[in-house]
Amino acid sequence: MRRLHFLQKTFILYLVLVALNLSCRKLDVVSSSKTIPTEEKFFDAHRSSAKEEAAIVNFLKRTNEKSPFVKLTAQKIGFPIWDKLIMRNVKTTRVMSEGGSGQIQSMANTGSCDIYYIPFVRDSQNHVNAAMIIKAFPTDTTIGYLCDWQYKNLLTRPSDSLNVKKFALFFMRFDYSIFTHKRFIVKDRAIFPTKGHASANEVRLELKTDDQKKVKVNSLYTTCQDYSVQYISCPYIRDYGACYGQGGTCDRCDRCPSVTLYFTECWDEWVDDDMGGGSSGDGGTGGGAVPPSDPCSGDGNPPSGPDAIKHINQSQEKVGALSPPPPPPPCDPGWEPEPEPYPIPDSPQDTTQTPCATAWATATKLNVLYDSSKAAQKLDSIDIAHDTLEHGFTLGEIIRINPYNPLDTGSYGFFTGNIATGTSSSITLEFAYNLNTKALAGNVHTHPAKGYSAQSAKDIYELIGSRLEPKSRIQGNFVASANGGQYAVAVTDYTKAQAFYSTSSQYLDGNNWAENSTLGKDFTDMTKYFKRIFKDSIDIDNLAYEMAMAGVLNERNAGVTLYKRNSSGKFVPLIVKKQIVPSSNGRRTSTIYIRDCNED
Amino acid sequence: MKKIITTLFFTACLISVLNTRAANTKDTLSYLQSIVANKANYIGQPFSVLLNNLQIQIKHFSPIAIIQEDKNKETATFFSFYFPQSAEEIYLTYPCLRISWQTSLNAATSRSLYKTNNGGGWTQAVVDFYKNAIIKDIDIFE
Repeated sequence: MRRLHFLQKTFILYLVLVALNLSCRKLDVVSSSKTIPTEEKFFDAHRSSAKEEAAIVNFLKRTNEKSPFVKLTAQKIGFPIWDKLIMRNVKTTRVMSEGGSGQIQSMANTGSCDIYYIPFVRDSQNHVNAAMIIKAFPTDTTIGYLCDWQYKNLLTRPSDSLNVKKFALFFMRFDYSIFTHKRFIVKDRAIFPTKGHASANEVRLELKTDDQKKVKVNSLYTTCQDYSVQYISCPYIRDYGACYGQGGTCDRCDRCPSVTLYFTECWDEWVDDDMGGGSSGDGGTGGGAVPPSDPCSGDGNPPSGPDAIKHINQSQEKVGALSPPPPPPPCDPGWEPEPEPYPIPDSPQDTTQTPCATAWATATKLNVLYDSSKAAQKLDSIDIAHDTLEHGFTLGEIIRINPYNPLDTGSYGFFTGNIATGTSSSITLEFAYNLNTKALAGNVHTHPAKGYSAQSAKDIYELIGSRLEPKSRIQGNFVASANGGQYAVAVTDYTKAQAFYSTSSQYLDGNNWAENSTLGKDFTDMTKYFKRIFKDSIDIDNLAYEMAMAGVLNERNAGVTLYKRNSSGKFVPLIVKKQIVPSSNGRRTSTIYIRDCNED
Repeated sequence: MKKIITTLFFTACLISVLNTRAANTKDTLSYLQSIVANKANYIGQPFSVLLNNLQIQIKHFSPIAIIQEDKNKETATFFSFYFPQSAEEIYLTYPCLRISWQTSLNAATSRSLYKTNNGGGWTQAVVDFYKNAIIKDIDIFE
């Protein structure tokens, strides 16, 4: 018995040991799978199959083995995007400055070298903050860096006023190449001074990204970049107050005049490495395998001291900005990519989707429009339940038009216009905004208790008319009714809507479907059908009306879909389909109407 | 043998019913067409004049209020000769008459009558509501 007890104890102890061992092993596995060595990420991520790239990577691996620099470099400027490196073969007759000292060093070699520009991106950022510059001479290879914050060095030297623009454009071109950023907010206006536009206090830049010119003359690459700079002035306006756009800034305020100027800057490759230089392994400022420390880290050699800041402030004062923004912190770049735009509405027709998928995709857009514009909050200020007159307001979209291509427009949010009052059966809504910065996205109007809750026939034609206008960005029109119901209509088939628009003389009579038109007869037939269905509902008329409206829009191929806001506050498609029931068992062929494209 | 006779008998009955219904529908249509052909006798007259002359019994009514901005204006009414037990039977209410009114009627009242009469049942209260309404036009919905 004692022997059995001993065996039991031993067995339990064995199990515990096995369990501990297994749990430790599991921890080891988790731990190792989470950590990707910095070197591995540095050298293996974002690779292509280019031979030159492989040669550069191998060279840097050897350099790192001799004198480790990868960890510190990754800490400071992130990781390289190898597959976006730029290689140039240039003659080395050049003039360059060394580090941040501003001393000009002339080199008069007559040989040629390959220059590689490798962009670096921090994990947490969506823009290039530094570029490693590797110069491969026949007898020597040097490593240097350009960091975005170093533009301030050039600001301190008036003779480099052109170079600072090129410096910024150099980084912006990388941002476009990697992230497709084309539009930038120029935070430090000293880079693109606004001398001729004294009242401008907002500067935006857009790269022209097609047809880039690269000219090779006598082995020297000249790169030209076309771009536009928009200077926006946002003065205080009497009777209007401070000019506010999206996010409370003056940007895109419709009352703010703006000027867009077009430029081209060309530079030879040696200009870009203005602050580079140094042999491999040299740890000097700006040169060497490790990038220079930025002035915020406290361990570097600040390239922009008080003088630089003073220079920036002076520049801003000179251009007479009304509210000059504070200069960016010394370690920040003087520009940043514009925020990503909202999805642009579909161009006339998306034929890749089924009608139901299109209807649901449009519902998503309508919900974004309704929610982002805060239409519901605006409606709260109207006593819809008791009002006998229609009220309404426009829904606007904040846009940016590409100065090179007016059809290329980005969306940056939505807003509501002022509330207008109409009659008991109609309302006129005006969209009085600068169409270069705002576009009409739709409208909201109310329906008093006396009328039907959903859109009228006239509302349907008005929607199509506004959608068919050139450059229209109409997404949909909304109705909020006295019974609490809310509806939207949107063009979901542009071609069908275009054809249907021409039927207004046949089918429209005032606000309503012409009673004796074929469509009008269909509508009354469907209303009769749905009244029978909703005979016990307190809201029988509105329910039958909305279903009949949805029915005729679908059956008559109007290209318009009716939406109703559900109990979750979302607009969902209301599509009614006619179904023929074949004759059987003494029952003749009949017609029923069913709801289609339901939520799964 | 008995089975065959029974089957033949019921088949004959079914065919007879179908033919009767089709004939009725056809009869109803031709009768309504004759009313429309003589609508001049009724236009401008109270609905009771037509009602008194009708040789078939109205079984169902359905108000039409097509004006978007005023759903309480009943501009016309469907009168049918079959009472549908459900929406699926609405097709049996055709052909029917659509009568437009010279002066719009109060749709709130007719709505109430429609609801209280199981969705358009024809009763004396309904007759009383429509009898004095002046007819503007008559047409047939098939």
